[in-house]
Amino acid sequence: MTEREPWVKGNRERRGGEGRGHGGRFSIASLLDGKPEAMILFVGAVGCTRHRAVDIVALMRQGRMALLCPSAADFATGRYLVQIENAMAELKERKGVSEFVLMYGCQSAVLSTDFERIRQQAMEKDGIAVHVFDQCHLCRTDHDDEEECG
Amino acid sequence: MKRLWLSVPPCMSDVLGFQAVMEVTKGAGIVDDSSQYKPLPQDRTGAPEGHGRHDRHGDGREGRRERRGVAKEYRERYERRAESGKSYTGTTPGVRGEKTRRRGIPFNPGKLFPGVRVVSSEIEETDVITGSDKKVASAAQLAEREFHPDFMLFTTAPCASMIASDLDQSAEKVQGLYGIPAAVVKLDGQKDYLYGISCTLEAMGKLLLKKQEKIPGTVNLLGLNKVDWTDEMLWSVEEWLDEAGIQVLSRWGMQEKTERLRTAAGASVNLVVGVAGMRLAVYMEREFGIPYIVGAPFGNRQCGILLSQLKAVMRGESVAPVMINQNNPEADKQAEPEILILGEQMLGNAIRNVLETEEGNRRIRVCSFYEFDKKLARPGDRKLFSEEELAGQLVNPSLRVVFGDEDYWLEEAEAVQWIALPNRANLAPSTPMEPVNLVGVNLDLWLKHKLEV
Repeated sequence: MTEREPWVKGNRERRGGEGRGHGGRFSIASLLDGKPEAMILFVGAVGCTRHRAVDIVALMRQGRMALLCPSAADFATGRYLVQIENAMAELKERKGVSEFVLMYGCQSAVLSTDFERIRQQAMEKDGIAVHVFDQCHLCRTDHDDEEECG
Repeated sequence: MKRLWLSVPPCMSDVLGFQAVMEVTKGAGIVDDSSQYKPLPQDRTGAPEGHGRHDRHGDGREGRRERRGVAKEYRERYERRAESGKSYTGTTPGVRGEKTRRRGIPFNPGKLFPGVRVVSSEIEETDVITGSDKKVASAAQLAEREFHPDFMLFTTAPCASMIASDLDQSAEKVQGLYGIPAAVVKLDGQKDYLYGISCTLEAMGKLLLKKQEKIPGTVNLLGLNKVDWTDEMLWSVEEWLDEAGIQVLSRWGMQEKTERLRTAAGASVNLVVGVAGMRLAVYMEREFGIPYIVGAPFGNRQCGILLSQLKAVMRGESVAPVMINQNNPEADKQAEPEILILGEQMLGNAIRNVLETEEGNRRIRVCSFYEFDKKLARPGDRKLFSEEELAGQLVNPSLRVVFGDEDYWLEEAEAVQWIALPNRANLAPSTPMEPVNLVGVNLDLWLKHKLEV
């Protein structure tokens, strides 16, 4: 990871100084900094999109973000792993995207999803580069709502 | 691909539907979740003079003015508690030198936002192993202290639903500790807001309703909600019923006193005005023998039919509860529609009824991304699960007009006329649109105007 990547602790303070909006708070768009061809793929429940919905939809309108919302059954059966793979392959085919930033919600965290394996497989099978943003509200490593409301 | 969303914006989830219901009651909601609940999008006065967005980024004068109001409410709450000699948890901005955010945004003392009647347990990763019951109990204690609720409902967000948090036990404890009724609404944050509203109303019915003496000439309104309905729309419905000599006993889903909800089993009939009221209507018919009539009171002709059905039921006649015109079901199923309506199912049905009456057009299809009841659907109508399915509906060459949220527009709809329908469940609309009062003849007039334009 480079020091530009905002999810690296210590780099967050720098973001405010660079004037990236939200008074220095984390912004989803910053995940695409330095990756002009990449797209964010969020994997999780529709309930999670209440956080930063405006930012999410703005990125969707720019074609820089997609949402994959597997059902409870998909998570329970592990089908969501195939869905992630298929979604990236489909986006590569339809939009020519071959670099993704993968964000996830608490379900994937609870299931201890092996994102490293997903990353490796995507590269080997489809030639897709995957960066994993491994923080969710459950993990509290980037609990910006807490920051917002005390 | 199913469940992959590229351009249709996300909608309010079932848990936000739960929140929407709790906020119009004297109850309190506890969500076993890892993050807090803010006011619903439509309750936030955004920043029209800034970026026109609802968050703080680039906020204008309106946004700041609102925040000053919020800070004032916190301060007053703090001072009331200080006077009563009680301790206060949390911090309050600008009060006695306590911690204040750099930009003057109030911290959230006691983890609550003004107007929000939902408290989150705020679980962390370790709670997945050790259990969230203690945090749920703390959230319930906070809700009881702050709201003095008449009842309490518990639900789970995605994470807690995956570990099957034992909220039934928490609800039992609350009943024992505080002496208020409590129950669990089974949600998981993965479905739409109308599903959440529907399940919450049903749970409230099961919790609060008791057998009552029948009161002739009374009706309960079921399936309302503060997302799609405004007070003005509700008043119009009440006025319409009042003029017909029918008294509204209770309103489920809009601002209502708990005492009135408790007496709702005394109504002669239920009028289901939104698809989110169907579960409760079925429950009330089964448990209390209250018949129900289905249909949004939108459009002059539909209002007339609904009134005659309500009066027939009050006279003791048997009326089929579901009002769907099916002249030729097989033809309906096969005919490629000229008009597609995307939205809440009962609103869609009401629009179709007017168009069929006024325009004589019978090739109209209703589709929805939200809660969908097959009993209210005609052949060809369907629930949509993906953008792919929406695109499949839009490529139809005979399609001329689409009614729906403007943000559902896909490039397949290039050649069709798109008439915007308000959709406040859209979490980030490109053009926010307030609900239009379509009660009674208003729908006929609105449609006439839109089709002329």
